[in-house]
Amino acid sequence: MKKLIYALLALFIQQFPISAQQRDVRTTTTKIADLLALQPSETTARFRDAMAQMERFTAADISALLKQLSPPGEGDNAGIEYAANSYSYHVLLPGKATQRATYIQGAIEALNAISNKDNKGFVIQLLQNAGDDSAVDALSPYLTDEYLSEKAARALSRIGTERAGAALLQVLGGSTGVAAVNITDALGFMAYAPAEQAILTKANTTDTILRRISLYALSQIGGAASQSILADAAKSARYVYDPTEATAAYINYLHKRIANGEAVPAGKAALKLFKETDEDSQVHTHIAALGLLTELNKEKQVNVLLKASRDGNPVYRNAALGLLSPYLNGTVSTKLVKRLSKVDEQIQVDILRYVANHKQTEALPEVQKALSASTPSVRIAAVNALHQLDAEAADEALIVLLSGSDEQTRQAVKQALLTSKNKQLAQLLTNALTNERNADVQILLIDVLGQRGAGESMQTLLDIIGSDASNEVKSAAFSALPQVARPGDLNKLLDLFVNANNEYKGAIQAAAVSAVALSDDREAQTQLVISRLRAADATRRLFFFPILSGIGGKEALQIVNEYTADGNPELRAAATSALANWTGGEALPQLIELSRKKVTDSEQLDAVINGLIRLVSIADIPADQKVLYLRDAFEAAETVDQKKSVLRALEASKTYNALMFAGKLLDDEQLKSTAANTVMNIALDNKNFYGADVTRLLNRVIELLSGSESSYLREAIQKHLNELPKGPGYVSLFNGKDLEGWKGLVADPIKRTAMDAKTLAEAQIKADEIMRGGWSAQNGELQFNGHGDNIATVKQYGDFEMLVDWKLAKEGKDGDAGIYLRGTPQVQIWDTSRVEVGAQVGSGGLYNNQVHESKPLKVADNPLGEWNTFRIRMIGDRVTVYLNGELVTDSVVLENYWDRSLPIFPREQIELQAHGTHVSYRDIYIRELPRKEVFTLPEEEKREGFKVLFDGTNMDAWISNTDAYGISDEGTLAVVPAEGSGGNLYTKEEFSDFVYRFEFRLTPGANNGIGIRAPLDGDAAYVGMEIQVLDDGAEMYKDIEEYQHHGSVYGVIPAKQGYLKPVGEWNEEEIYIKGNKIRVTLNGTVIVDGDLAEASKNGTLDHKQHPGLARTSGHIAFLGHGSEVHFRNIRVKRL
Amino acid sequence: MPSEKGDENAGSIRPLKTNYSLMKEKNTSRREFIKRAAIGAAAFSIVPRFVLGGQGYLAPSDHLTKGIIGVGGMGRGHFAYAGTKTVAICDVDTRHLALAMKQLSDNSVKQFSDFRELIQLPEVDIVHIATPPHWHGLMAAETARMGKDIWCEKPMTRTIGEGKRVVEAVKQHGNIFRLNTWFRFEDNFYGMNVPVKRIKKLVDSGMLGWPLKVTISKHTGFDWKFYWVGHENLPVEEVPKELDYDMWLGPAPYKPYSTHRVHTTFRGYWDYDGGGLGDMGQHYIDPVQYFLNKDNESPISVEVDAPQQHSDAVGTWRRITYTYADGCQIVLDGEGRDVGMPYIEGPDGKLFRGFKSDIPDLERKLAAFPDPEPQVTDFVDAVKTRKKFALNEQNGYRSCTIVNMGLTALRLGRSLKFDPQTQLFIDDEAANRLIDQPMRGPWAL
Repeated sequence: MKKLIYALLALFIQQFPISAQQRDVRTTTTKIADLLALQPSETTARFRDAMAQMERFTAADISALLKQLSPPGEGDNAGIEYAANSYSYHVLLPGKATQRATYIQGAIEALNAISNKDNKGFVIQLLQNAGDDSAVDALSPYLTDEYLSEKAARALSRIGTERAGAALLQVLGGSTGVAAVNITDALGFMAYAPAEQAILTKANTTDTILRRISLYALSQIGGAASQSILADAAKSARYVYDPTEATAAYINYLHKRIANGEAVPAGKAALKLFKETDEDSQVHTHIAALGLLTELNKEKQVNVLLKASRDGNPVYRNAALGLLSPYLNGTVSTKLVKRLSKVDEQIQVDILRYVANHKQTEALPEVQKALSASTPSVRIAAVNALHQLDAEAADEALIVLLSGSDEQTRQAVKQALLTSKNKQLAQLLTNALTNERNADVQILLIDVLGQRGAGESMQTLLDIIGSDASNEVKSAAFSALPQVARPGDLNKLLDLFVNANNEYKGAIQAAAVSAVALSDDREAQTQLVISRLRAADATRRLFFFPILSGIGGKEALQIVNEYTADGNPELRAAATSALANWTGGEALPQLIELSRKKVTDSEQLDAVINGLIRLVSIADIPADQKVLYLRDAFEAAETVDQKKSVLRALEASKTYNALMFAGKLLDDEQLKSTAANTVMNIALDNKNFYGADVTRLLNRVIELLSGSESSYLREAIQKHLNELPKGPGYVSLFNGKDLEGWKGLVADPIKRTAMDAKTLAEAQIKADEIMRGGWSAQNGELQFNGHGDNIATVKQYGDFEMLVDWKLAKEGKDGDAGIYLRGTPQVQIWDTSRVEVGAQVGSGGLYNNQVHESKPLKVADNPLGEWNTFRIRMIGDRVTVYLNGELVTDSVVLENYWDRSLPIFPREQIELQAHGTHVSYRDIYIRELPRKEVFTLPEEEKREGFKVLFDGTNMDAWISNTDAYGISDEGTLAVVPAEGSGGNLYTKEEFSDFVYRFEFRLTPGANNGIGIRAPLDGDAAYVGMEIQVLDDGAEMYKDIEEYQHHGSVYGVIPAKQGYLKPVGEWNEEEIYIKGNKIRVTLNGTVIVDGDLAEASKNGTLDHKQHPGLARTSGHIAFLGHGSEVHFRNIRVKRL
Repeated sequence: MPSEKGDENAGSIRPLKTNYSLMKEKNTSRREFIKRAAIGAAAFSIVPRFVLGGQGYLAPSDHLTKGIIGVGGMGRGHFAYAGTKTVAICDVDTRHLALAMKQLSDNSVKQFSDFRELIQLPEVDIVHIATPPHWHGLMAAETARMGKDIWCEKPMTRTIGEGKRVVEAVKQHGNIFRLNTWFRFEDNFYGMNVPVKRIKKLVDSGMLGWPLKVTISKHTGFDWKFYWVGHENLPVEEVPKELDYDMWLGPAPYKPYSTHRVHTTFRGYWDYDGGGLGDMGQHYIDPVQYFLNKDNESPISVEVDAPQQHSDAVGTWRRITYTYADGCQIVLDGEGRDVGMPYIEGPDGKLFRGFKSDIPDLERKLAAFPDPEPQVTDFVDAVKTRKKFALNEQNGYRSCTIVNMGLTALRLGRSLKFDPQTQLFIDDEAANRLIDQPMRGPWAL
């Protein structure tokens, strides 16, 4: 199945004229199937492609597409709905008038032909999107249909033309009930003036609904004839809200009339409305009337507005002020504030706020007067107004005001100072503070200085601290220190310690931290703090801990950590708190250590756990390492809350280990809901975490979810599960309970392979016994006690990804172990302190390599007694290792230790090495990776003279006009049309008579084709020949012609149907062509056996020209069609 | 063939329960209801403001009385806002009403199924609109005409046109309007983990330079909730007897009932909302509009990169980029493409998730700059003293317009240009048809 679109598009680009020959010759069915294959389009390119395809649709094609709609709930309409709806927007783009006309015509044809009313409704909605005058006649009949009238009326009103209005008006008279309401509603929406009389005759109905919608429509139209009925209706509603909304309609109507330029009658009516709405309950209508009058009279309304702005009703007053805004000027604002102090307090407040918001500087004199008003609310309003109006000068005046003011006014001044843009503010405040004697004002000034980070006030603050000021004032000064401290202040601050009360020490410490943080030489400043600490009495030393904690860094850490083991319990406790509050991630190992000491004080443990969580979240370390820390923290946690916090923190590090760890807690009564969230958030973010374990965990999460979002979340998880790859994914190699899946080691791979079955079986029995002596499952860990030989997987592995956690004993001597990959040593594990054997390079290197690198790139080991995580990836002979998230071995060849003349074995077992020392393992997971199998010709085909065109490694035999063809990870020739529709891929060489063999795998609805004897351009189905490749069992192909089924010589010779394997399985196919004889064999069955000349002598089945049938030679091609298909093992023999 | 089965199907079409007859019934009983209301009022421990001193007057110590329209999950969460007391509730699902009454445990609270009865109650000061968004515009405008003050859940309106109508109605009648997202003045702002005031202070300080680009993505701490999507090919189901589906739909086009359309999953359908962008968008975008000082303007363009969208069900998207006339940009990154992206990027500095910056010692430098001007953040105070609330119909309309520009571009599958003055799309009739969408009769706005 092939189309001309691409050739056509290419021609457009080259600006060739389009001739009749190049018309889209596809059948309607084909066009629709092609289009639906692109729906919904994932990418913009594909979307454009789909829209370009629809532009080639005739009205009949559009209609045929829409007629395929099933009644709601009875079939799959999605593809049609995507296409038809998107295209209804597309045709309104500039320059698409022709396409729009065609689309509307097609939609109308469908509307008439479809009988299901909901499907009709969908088509009407399309016409609401895209329709114009040409749709009016088709829509009109539905106006009186009870079910569809609302849709038809809306479509017509949205079309909004004279003709649409006339159509609505024509049926209005005879309509009743729902239809009358819908039609009137639509006429109102489009404000169709000729309908005024007809609506007027309906408007006096006693039917509330029809009356309301009629009054609304009349108001939208705004005709003179409606004046009395609308006015009367509003009046009889007493100008307030009623079910007919007559008042709202009347107000709307008067606005319309003003807009129509009918100022005089509108003004008269508005004035009457204004006068008749003086009751409190009518205030909102009164405001609307005032608005109408203002709209009409503009400046002439100002005096009325000024009067209204002093009205006792705050709603009315503030609305009037709002209406006044466009007419504000110096004169108006002076009038506004004139004799302000005479009016009610709340009115003064509103007006002051108003002139400030509108920057009316002419009001300043009155504002300044108001600063000394007797009521606090007015004073506060005046302070705010002064601040807003007189930004430059206000601060000084406001500071002066502080001394004599009440507390509320002071707070207003404070707010103004905090938001002041005055660059001299810090100096002003400092000066004021120096001279201020009122303690409350001093405190306020200090607070503002602190918040504004005024470094210049430091000395003044120190002076106050050293003075005989009250405790409250001193306390404020201390509190401001951290914000104003500068690097030069460190010594002065540390001096303050000597005499300071305990309650101020926190502020001094914080100030010292700030001083160091701002310094250019933090190291020297840190040393200064450390030296002061050492010089201090033992009892005073603890005061320095929080400073060091705030500064952070390795040196500070070392000092504080020493004190966590001090003999003095007070110092120990202080050091522990300091560590828990540490600034940088460097304290994590120390915190872990602390957490394990079983801090007896539960509050301290809480602080330590929270400190761990906080530092893990901010530390710049790999996710694998974060997960190790958090698992340690979980181990140390005692309360449910602590455990929950750790679980929540875990979700930020989205590793497989974290997922599995949280997964184990899904059955913990107290933790399961927290665990469920963690599992969900990690899993949903990782499409490469799949397999039976992941599926099991997510299904469990679905059961556990509750709350308002849960219905969405369940859907999201289900969708995620459906989209996951179907392979086994990571599989656990160790069940935590026993040694299932493991066996003892028998000799080396070479010797083992040489053994006969009986010898091997006997040796295996002995080896298993040795294994059980040295290896055991304990506490969920796989432990080696130091005695015996390697433990090996029962299964053999080729290419894989492996996760394994390991731990060397803390007190162990000469710790050493390793992971044998494919039976071969090894990814090294050792105690990095063993300098004598070179272990300082760290673990994770390929220790036994002689030619290729054997050392790791860096040391990433955790200390002895701590867990480590390996992520090992082996592809072919190359190994990549991450240790605790750090890359330590980067795609290095693993040499064959057992016979260095050989490459590494393609498949072998994995072993954990026994090296005489105690080792623990946990969380061993492996994911097998599909290996690219390189195709080689079977001997028989080699003899027959077949030649390989694609073996899974390269595309050397091909020329492509598209990026859509590539080699997949598994080594198939894949058409993955992420962008665009695919296009064609041709052999470099030409072939005339040949046997072509290949395998292919389809995806649902997939469509491709094999071009033969094809030229490099044009549509191969016609200018060459096309052997169809199609998932012809798919629903969307149910109506195709027999010559379009899989295997057919497209349009010429139909194939036998029913020999394709299920979608997703590999099919084998052979195409034999010699002269005019053609034979297609699918999975061993001949499905085409014909003669091209015979088949076309009386014209072809599809009644199209097929000049390609006469060709004797050409390229073999894959004819792309926008869907994913895989091919492999492609070979050809010339005949 | 589907079309041939049409006649058989005609019988299975759920008859449109006409608004017409429904509303007539309601209205004849309204007089009685008002009578009841008057009697009920005597039992109130709280004296409504109209009794005290005319409408709009309220002694400072008094609670404001409120009526809540829509007491599903959202509405039921708002019974106890400080300074207010719930006196009436309304829902089209009697199950919601029952749950709400149980939660309120106050039998004097009045229950309604038609919001127009609730907004007419004399004893209600504030009307709280907590329905799905397709009702917001209509209810807000009618409440404004009734003379009540309004608390409306986000997003403000489902279309740009409805937003304009609400602004007009509130202006016309002098109401106080609060749009309910609060991050511009309260709480820590998602992944930034600081109040927006701090971000605003930084932007105002000029330390980042100008223009700014703001990226809202999972890497800057915002979840676009892509699981809020709709389904295609919904099954046709029986309407539950407790639900007045016709009234639930209201102005939205009639479509056969399916459980997934309503209640907790309505956000996945264009007719009622716009997925994660529709529902979370204003939470995330409004503060950006505020700290960029764009409360009185709109972007001039919106670019989308997304999979094709369905006619009914909302789908996901990859990237939506808004550009203002001065070059400022707001980027919504749906698939987290930009790992390590700053939240705000300016020519002179960057701000990352968690208020981290590449400007050394930012906090200290920032202290010397002025705080942003205070905002009116107490709704009760705003109502009592007639101050415009911090997030009101005007700036709320603007930030909702940003959301609606994105949704429009998404539905159309193309980038759009916008005129902030006329508030219309430029040279795109299809987009402009979505600005003003006619409503199903008998509703009009």
